[in-house]
Amino acid sequence: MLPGSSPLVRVRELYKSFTRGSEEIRVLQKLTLEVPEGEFLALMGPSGSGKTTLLNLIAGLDTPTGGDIYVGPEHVSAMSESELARWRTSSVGFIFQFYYLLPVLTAYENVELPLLLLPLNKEQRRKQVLTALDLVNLRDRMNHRPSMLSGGQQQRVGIARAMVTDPALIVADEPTGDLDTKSADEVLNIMQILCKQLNKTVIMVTHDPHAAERAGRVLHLEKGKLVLDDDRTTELGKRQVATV
Amino acid sequence: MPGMGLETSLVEATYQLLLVLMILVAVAVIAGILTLPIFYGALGYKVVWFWAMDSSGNRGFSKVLSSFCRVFPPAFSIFATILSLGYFGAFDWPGRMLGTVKGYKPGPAQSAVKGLFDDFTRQIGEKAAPPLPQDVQINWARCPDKAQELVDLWDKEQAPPPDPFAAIFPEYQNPPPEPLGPPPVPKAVASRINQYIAAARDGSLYEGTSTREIDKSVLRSADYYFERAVKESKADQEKQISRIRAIILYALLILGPIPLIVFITAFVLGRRGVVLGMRNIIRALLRTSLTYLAVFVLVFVLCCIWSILSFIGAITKQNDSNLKGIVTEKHQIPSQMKPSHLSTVKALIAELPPGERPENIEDNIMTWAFVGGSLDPKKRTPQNSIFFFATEPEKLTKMMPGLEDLSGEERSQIDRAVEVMAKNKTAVVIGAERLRQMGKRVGDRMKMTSMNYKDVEFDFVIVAEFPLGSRWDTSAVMNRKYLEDELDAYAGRTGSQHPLAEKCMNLIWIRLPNSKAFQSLQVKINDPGKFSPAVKMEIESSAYANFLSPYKTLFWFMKWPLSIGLLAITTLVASLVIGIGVRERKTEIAVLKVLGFRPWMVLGLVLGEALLVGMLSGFMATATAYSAVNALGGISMGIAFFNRFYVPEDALWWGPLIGGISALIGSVLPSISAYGIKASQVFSRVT
Repeated sequence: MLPGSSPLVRVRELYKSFTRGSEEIRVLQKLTLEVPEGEFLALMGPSGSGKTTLLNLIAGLDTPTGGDIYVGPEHVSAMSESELARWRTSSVGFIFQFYYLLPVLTAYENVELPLLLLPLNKEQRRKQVLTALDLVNLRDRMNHRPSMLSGGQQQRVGIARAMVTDPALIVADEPTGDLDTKSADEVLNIMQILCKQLNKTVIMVTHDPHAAERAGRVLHLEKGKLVLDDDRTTELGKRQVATV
Repeated sequence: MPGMGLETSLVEATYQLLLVLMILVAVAVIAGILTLPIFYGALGYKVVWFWAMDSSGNRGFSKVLSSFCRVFPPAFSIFATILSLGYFGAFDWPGRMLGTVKGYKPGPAQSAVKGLFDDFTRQIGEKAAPPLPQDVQINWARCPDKAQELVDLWDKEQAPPPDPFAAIFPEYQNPPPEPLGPPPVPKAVASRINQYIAAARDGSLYEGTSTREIDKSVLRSADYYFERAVKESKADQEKQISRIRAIILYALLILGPIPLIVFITAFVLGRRGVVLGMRNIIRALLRTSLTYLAVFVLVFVLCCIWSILSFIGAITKQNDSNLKGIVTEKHQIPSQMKPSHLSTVKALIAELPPGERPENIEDNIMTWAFVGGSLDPKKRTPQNSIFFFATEPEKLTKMMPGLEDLSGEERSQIDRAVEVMAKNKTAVVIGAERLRQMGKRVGDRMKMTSMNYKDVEFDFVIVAEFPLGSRWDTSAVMNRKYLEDELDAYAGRTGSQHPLAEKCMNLIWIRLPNSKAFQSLQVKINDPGKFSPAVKMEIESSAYANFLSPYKTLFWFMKWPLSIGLLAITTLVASLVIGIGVRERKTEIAVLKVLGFRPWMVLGLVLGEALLVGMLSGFMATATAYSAVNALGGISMGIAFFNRFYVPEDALWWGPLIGGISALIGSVLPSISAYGIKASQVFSRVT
């Protein structure tokens, strides 16, 4: 299925500002965005441009100062903290730059962690964990602790953890930022598989142009505004500049 | 009693308290460090079960091991919990609440479990430490060479080791410290005696030995060493049995209740959460060890301090099921009443109406006279001085506080002693610890010159000992009749009455059926017209309370500033350590929140970890204090005429509770901080 059939993520006139002392810092300003189901979207921009803030807002980790965010039928920006937590468990998968696996748990237990919050029995959990580990090709390392895995392997465990609950949306914050080229390629391949074969919507923040090249669409942010929308899913070379 | 020099002054008690406190803290720190492996072992015991529950090992050994570990830890914890609960009388609570089991006596379930446990541990102890045969006698006159050998060996073994500094600093040589009691029988001597006994049994001991004349003192010495070795080996076996009991009980306590709580929690709340908490505890070894040590020291010290307070509290609390009054002289301390007061008191009891009068007056009245003296009046030392309660022997097991509820072997020993004392007025019973200090044993005779009854001498024979660890293990009891006869003999010798003959009754104890009876009798006895000099009757608890009133400030200090101070320090340490842990795990907590864990779950995780460490540390401290302190003879601290205090069984539930609560309070702020961690802020800063 080609992306663009229906938007999974809809962001309408989004504002986010922080107050530091008496100074108001505007991080996102009147940002509007739609991400179709099954799209692999890359967010690029200089440090402080608001990429991670936008990612956190879409994933329900933070609440906006103004505007609306919808993910599927859910009005994310109107949810309470506990509703957001519940929604995140089943609907969003996270991939972090530094993997953030729990060091005291094995690869299997790390992947199983989000499933503990869902009404599943042990066998159902086991089936889902093994499927996720198979996808990232790490079943043989499932009893290893993070300290016994390489960076690339840890990130693959992180991807398995992100997709084990079968969420519609996967967000990744610089997933290849801490990896060598080979490992980064492996991770990006898996993310592409998630989009193309499993129809997951992936939003990735990155500074790496090579990683961004693997995305279907690249959005450039500067000072909290979208400055460039580079859509590669349409005709090659076609570029649409969005001035917001 | 006050004025007789037998009580410990308040200043001395305060000094002792400070000394005891310092020793306790040092002991607690050492014990805490030494028990750290056991603490981690107890955690590992649970981890093994969690491992087994998740193990998917399908190879032969791994499969068998995981199957075994799935069943054994919870099954053993259930068994250990039931056994320890039974041992400490938990199953008799319903009976106590219904009144079928009296407050101060072990109930049927406790007696049964204790009996089985004691029999089992005795069997192990008897196999582990067989004593020298007790039924073999050696005729040293028939084997004088062996007698000489034994005496020579003894002398050689008892010779002090050479001072390594003597050659370097000859002028600074100090005399060796005077031992408290006689030295123990050397191992080599015991081993040689064992050989002689074996030889005596097969008859070879008396073959081919010289029949030369030998000094009788050598024969007497050999006989003395032989008897001591045989008796000491039996006493050592008893000590070994006590140690085995303490170790088994300790293991049951450590592997019983707390792991069971963890297993049940894992079933109720889910295994993964508990596993996560436990692994967090284990991974931060230094932090966990520090929290463990802080809680351990607090609970250990509090356990010991509150053991003293709880004993004092118990004796100063009115016991309606065993109501006792104490009659003393009204206006004079020490109380010195006329012996004739006893018959007047009995007559007044007889005047009570039937519902208030004890069924048998004789069985419910006991007198005490205090007789202090020395075995060597010219050279008095703490070792050769002794203090007796002169009383009616048959009242020992009927009315003596702490002896009424003895059971089993200890009870039969005292019962036999009472029979002998009734027949032989010179027979006495002395506490096991006091005997050890004096270097005496059951069967010995001793001559005592009284210090308060001037010019009166007693020739005692020791017929039994109060059990080690009992309230009376440093006390001594003699027959009152012997005191009276010696006072009569003094009058016959000197032609005049002894100055204390009409003042030789210090206390009268009366047991009454109810408080109404007490009030009625109190009115009669307190009537100034009835006795000259006037007397007063107080309830046992208030008599103790009055007697202990000079120590009130000390008790208050121990109960409030000291205990609260210790609690505050521990809570602060726990808070700091747990707070550091939360700060270190900030990102992990944020990840959990990102994955959908609710703030209250994170709060529960931090509180749960603290609670587990606190409770386990508290439990280990209490179990260590209970097993070690009691097995080593209690806390030695002189308060009035109480010398030793034991950690009560109740400590086994309030110890872990204190540990758990202090760690829980300490974890409140860190857990609130974990509750409030915002994932977006953590990751915004990171990326």
